Amino acid sequence: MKVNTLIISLLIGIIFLFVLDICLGTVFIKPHQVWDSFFSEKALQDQPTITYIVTNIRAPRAVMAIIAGAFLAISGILMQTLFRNPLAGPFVLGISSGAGLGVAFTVLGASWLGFQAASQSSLVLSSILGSVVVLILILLISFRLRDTMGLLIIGLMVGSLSSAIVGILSYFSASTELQRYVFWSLGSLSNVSWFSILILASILLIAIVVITYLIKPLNALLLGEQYALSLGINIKLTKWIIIILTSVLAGSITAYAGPIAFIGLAVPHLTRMMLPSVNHKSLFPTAVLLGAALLLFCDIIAQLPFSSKSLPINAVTSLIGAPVVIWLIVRKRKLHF
Amino acid sequence: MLVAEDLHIGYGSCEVARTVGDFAFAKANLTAIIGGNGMGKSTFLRALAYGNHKISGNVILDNKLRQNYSDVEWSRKVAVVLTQREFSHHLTVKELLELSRIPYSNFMAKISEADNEIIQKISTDFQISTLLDRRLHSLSDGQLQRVLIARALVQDTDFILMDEPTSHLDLNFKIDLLHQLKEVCLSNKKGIIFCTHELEMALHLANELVTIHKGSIDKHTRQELLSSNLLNKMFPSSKLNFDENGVSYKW
Repeated sequence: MKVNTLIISLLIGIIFLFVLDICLGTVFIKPHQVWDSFFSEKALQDQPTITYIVTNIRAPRAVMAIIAGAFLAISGILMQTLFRNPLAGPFVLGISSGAGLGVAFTVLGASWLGFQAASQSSLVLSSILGSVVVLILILLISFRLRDTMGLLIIGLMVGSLSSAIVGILSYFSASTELQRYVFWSLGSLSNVSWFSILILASILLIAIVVITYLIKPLNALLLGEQYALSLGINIKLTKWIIIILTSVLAGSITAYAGPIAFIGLAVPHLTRMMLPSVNHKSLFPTAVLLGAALLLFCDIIAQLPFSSKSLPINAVTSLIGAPVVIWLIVRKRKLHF
Repeated sequence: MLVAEDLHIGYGSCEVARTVGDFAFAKANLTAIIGGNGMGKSTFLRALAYGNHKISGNVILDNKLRQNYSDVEWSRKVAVVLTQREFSHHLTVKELLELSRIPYSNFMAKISEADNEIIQKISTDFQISTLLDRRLHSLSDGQLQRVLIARALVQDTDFILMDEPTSHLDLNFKIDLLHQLKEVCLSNKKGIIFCTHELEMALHLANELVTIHKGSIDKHTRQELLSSNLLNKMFPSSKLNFDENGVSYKW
């Protein structure tokens, strides 16, 4: 498929899913009511409840889905290209586990250290810190290792190490704190303030600027590090930028939305299957839009429209996504990597 | 002129091999590096290409030290053909060749008209124009090796360093490829330095022979090397003999 056609159809898809995501839920809100909530001056008098639901609950959640999808798609591509491994992703290498560990220390360990219940911003900080620590650890090891598979095992080990520590922490924790951590780990796009969204959107903007300058080195990395070096690419600098960018993206989104599985690993693969070329210039925009669309779709499902219940987003992404990827790979018989 | 000046190479403090004095490689010259397994052929090549594994000494290109070149400047002077195949096999041949123009492109790696002309010319010269739209995973070993060598030519450098460019190839591909390399090297005034296990082909085709034996890196012409007893020492076997006429086997 032509890149431009693909991007335009994805954009249309995102707009459609965005509106649908706001309309559907426990209560059905008609599209014109959604429109009024944002743009009518009398909305607060005419339809106070609906306006509140739209502007404070559903719209932030839908925007969050778009941002999270974009973040995860970007960090997925960065990791897969850096390690030239189709299994890489923020989740697989234990970055999310690190973020989880950071959050666990803050949520579960706070009472030990005599803190008050952890605030949202301290969750974000601890999550970023956790993911940075893990990524640097992974990278230091990767400088020593020649074998990428070894690195993945180490990522797994970091994951089980952090879950062991989380286990110990939760063993000694009060049930309310434990519940807060479990809820966090199941992922949720809800309860994010517009201010937090503004922060995430600015991070996304910065990431896009950085990525524009990363396209050339990332494309060179498709030839492997040795060839990239011989093409005059500063590999060390590129690696560090990729690592910092990935940990900020994966860390911050994990802090606000929990460890969302699957998207970061699968979206880059789905994108490569759709595109004629593996050039990052077309890979990034397409993956960002696909990630956003996919997460919006998953969020619609997770809300279980017309029922009073909802599912954790983490379960939905994997439940829907994994079979899709399996089906695609079986059908295409080859991973385009 | 690429010079390895008193270059000692190795890992950590463990020296593998060394050159003595100004050890120069000229342009328009096909140089073969031969030596037994583990003697440091690849290490020497990497030291020349990347400045890696250097314990002491200098790599000098056109009277300027390696470390005084920026990464990009160096990438316009020296290209490599490696044995490792870590690259994405989903790339098309054309994409691979376009990526090799990175040293000359802007930050978005836009391919210019001039880049395209070079790619077209070299793929025609190297008989890979019909492969341009193929993905790397669909190529045979022989085709892939041609593509990788064409890639280095597209990078348009004075020197090309190759690590065993003919391994895994059928005999006829080997000899054709080396002949073509020699032609390219002479007609385009490029210095090509390659490591190889193919003693006979190296002896017949290379203008210069570099031996690495017991830590000493030396340069010979074909006659010098054959009349010395060095090859017999380097590759000792009761079934093999080297003399003025080349290699003879005792089957």
